[in-house]
Amino acid sequence: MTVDAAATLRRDEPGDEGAATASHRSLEAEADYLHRALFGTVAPEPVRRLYVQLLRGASLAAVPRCEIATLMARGVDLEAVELALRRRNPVNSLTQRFHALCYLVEARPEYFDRFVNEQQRFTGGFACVAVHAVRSMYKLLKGCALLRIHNVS
Amino acid sequence: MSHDVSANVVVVGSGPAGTFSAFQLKGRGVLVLDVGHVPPARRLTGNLYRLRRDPAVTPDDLFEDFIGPQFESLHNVFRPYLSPKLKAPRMRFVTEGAERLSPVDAQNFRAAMSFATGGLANAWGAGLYRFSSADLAGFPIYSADLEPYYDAITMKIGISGADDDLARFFGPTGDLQPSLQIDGNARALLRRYAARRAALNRRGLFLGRPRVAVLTREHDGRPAYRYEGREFFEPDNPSVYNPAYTLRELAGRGEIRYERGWLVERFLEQDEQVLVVARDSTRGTPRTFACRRLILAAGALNTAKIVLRSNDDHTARLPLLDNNVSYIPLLDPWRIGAALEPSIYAAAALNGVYTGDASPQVIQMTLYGLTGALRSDYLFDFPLSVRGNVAAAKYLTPGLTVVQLFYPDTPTPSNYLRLGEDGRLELRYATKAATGLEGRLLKLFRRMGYLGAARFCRHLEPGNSFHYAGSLPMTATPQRRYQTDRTGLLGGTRHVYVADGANFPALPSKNHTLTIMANAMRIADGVGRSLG
Repeated sequence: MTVDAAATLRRDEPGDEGAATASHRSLEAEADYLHRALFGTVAPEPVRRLYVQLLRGASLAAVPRCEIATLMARGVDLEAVELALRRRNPVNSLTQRFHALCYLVEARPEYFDRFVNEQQRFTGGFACVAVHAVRSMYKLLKGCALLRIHNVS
Repeated sequence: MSHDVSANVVVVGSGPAGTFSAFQLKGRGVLVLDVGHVPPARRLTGNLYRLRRDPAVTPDDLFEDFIGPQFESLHNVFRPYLSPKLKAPRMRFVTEGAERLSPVDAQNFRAAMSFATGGLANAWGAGLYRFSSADLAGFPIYSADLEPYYDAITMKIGISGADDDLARFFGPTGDLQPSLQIDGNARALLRRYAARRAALNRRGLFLGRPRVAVLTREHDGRPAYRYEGREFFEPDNPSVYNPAYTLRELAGRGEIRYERGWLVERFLEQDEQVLVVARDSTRGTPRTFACRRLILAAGALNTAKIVLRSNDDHTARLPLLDNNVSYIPLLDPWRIGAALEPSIYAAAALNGVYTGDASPQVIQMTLYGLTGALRSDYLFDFPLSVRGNVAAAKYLTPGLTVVQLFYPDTPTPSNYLRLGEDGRLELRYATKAATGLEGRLLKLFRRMGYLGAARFCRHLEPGNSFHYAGSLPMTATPQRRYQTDRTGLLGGTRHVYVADGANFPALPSKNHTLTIMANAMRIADGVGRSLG
């Protein structure tokens, strides 16, 4: 079952407490996985809670479906998969999830330095962006391969 | 339905047109009818960036103001594009209830309608520009007809600006307040422009400071702007003009009556009075107001809807004008990694005008920095991996400028509105071909050292400018029911006037809000004279 289908099921069967708990946990795990891909650590509890709250009520893009739970279970590099998916279709459910997580953390004080540069850093800033440009090319190639290997549609 | 003689003049709507119609007729028995949504109470005050660093502000407080309890700021992640100026938690009231109060059936057009006190001006960029005679081509009025009203508005609300290269396009500078401070990004752009001014001017590009209704000096009891940079998050900074201020002032002094909670649906002329049929916007209870003159100022779309409903006309197609918008992102490579400047005005930093041969008409542009928005608003416009995008947002934002182009519009048969059988307003707008202007401008900005590429330019869906007009156009000699004469009088009526952008027969590139205000005052003056 895709995550999107699972989300639909969650909404359709609000009385199923066991399924609701399972989906709650899967969204928490998803928040941690995506947060680690972005920032190298699991998500703080408030971010995880907000992520679950948001995703349970969100209408995610229906296509292309990305079987995130399966990819997570296989330990796949979702940052690479997201970039490859985004190149194919900018509106996809994995990009939406990363984007949502970015919003949730950006407004928090502990992430301020991740998004805002307060010091003059021409060389450091230039180098950082250049490194990420090269790294993104690698991630794109890797992501395209992962889409094929894991048959992500 | 019972009614009583409610007022000499009923004004429908409280946006720029409604407010300045009422202003001009103050003390003469004016009743303003409006749905009148208001912003939620302010929680945090202070500078956008200092708040986010303030240990006394809790993450929950920041979340409430910047993201929202209903995750309002994430609108564009899951739903069709909404301007960043309309989606923040305290800005959502601007378009609140529009889908219920005035549903539309739109194709290729994203209509933004406001039922808030002050209308869409709650989320405006505050740019105010006088129309020249060239801008008024096709209008049955001249710039001289509007000049006294432009002057009066400037004195009333306070407009800041500068006597620079754009003064020849924007008009007199005598009564202006000094222009707003600009950040290092805009200063660098102006320096580079100054160094190549002659060559750029020869190619048709002119840059300068914007004319904005933002105070740089205390004026009329309102304070000077404090560079808090929260234009994307709050609608009621007293230094940034909002028609709601004038409306409250007039109502507070008893010079007009302002009744909130009424959605005007139609009118009916009966003998020497006009009956205005409204519905309670929450309970749905109908009520009829009577007046001697009716001024429609509900916005080009809703005014047209009221007129069509009044005629029970589901077949007429009325013109629909919109300033199509495109964005050109530019990067100043020398500002990569520049330190944050927290004290900013987050809306228009600079203006530009293009008069070159790539466009048959003068094109106006607004230049923005991106430091006033959340980085997440444009994070996925970068082409890198998500981690790369976060780094790019951090280090490239200080050097990013977005040029927003506004395209002029004239009536064409394929762009129209109609009242559907189901009561929804049908909006149809044919896609316009790209003009190639973005490419020409990119070349000119590259001459100033900016990096940009056509693949990053973006044409928004029509309607995203919020600049709508033309549905009931003014003509010197109205031939049809859905035209207005130069006094704003609606064809086929004796006492119904149209005072908003609906009566513009064409839409130049220049922002039309100041002209809507001035023209509304002009029309209200005529209404006042007709009352005797």
